[in-house]
Amino acid sequence: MNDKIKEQLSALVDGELPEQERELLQRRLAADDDLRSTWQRYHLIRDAMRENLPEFVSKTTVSIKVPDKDMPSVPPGSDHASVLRFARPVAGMAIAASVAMLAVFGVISNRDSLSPAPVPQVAASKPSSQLPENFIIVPRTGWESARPAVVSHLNSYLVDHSSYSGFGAAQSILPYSRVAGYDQPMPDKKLEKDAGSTNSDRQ
Amino acid sequence: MRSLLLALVLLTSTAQADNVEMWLEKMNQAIHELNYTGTYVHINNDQIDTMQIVHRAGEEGERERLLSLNGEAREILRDSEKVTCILPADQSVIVGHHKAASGLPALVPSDVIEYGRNYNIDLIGRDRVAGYPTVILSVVPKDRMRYGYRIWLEEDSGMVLRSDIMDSSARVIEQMMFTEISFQTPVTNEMLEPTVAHDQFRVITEQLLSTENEASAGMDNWSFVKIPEGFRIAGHSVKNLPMKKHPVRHFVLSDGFATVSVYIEKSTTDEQALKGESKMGSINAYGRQVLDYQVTVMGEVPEHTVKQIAEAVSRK
Repeated sequence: MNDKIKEQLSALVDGELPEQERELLQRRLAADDDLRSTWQRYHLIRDAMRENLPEFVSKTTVSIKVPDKDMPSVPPGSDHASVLRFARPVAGMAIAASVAMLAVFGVISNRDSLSPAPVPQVAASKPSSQLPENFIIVPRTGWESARPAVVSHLNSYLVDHSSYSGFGAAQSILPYSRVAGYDQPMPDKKLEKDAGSTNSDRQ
Repeated sequence: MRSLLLALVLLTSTAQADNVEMWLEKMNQAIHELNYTGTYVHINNDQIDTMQIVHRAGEEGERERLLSLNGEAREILRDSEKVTCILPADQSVIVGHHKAASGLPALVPSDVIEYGRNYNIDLIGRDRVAGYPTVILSVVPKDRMRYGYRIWLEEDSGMVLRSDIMDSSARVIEQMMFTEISFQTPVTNEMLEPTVAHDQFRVITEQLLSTENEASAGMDNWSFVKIPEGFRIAGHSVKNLPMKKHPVRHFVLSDGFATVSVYIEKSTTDEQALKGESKMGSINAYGRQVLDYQVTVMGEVPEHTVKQIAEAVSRK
């Protein structure tokens, strides 16, 4: 991976890449696994630098060193080590972390005396179940060390298992969250297809 | 003096046990019987998801809608009879039967004696989650066959606002935490309707098989040589699962907190079969072949537990 690509990638993460370069890079991202994982790490590193990760994420996750070759060029004097403490090749985490932060600032209930102080509502657009145009799916990690065919077999069981699982009889929320965090059966193929398509292609 | 002290200690520990029992019961009730809408973060493995939840209790039974707020908008709808998973990435809708409709006996709710056999449960403190005061329950396993839990319960209702699952070295392996929850908003039918357009998706439905078909499907005479200490068979059935060619024999094992599923089906291709172990966050799976059948064991227990259960499966 040459420095130019790294620079472009870094600019993409910061939303500063010119549009004509963006399209080309997105196509490369869809086709190149290495590039894609570097891109994910950039996101994570950026969020960690901005201290955008929820506190409990940084407290509980284990540190994994990001290979130096993946590091974007950082101005001398900045604190590499503190970034690496948070860094972990987490699929979806960078984006989700900011979503989580938004959720923290969401509207809180109007429940009687226990009710927390009202939080000023952030004027935001309505949540949508549609993916934005030109989106890139961040690959989701799922079953460890399993082939795609095995993953799909395990997922089918997972959906079923979830209706029995929970704290004792309590149908807790957790099991279904796992299903919703459902791994895509063929992540690589999906990526190539999806990364190049827009919302309207998918209807 | 000494006996007085002893009496005091005994008294406090009984009070503590009563308290724990009360909280467990409250938790079980709260999850089923409250109306709530909220947002929570779920961290499993190295994956993090933000989910929106709408839950309604009532005379016609529980209804629930879960929507993932990041990535593809996966949506799960649950009522007393079925579970519907809308998966846009696959362009598919998977419809499964809820356990109440599948003829499996329900696990005994808040069976503190059963919990107590396998876990030490204590109230360890108070905290604040999503703006609400909570108490923290610590659930520590008595052996290495299961995981530990920390559960944050809202002080007033007993609703679970956060839960951590921990392995034997007390490392957190799965977490759920509400960032926002309301118990006041009336939950209308409209709020429980799917928001993800899925008219064009293929629908895959799970079917239960009657017992007469079991023998012909080769699904009878399965049993366990030895089940790990503290677990019992909570139910079993034979069914057609979505995306499976052959009927599947399903056993549910439980120790009061953790649940393990054992799936047995006629071997199809080696491609699909899990040989050995795999995991996803707190869920471990183990697969092996027994005669012409593929045995897959899955549950929120450590890897050696699923392995031990898989190795105990035999056909008479």
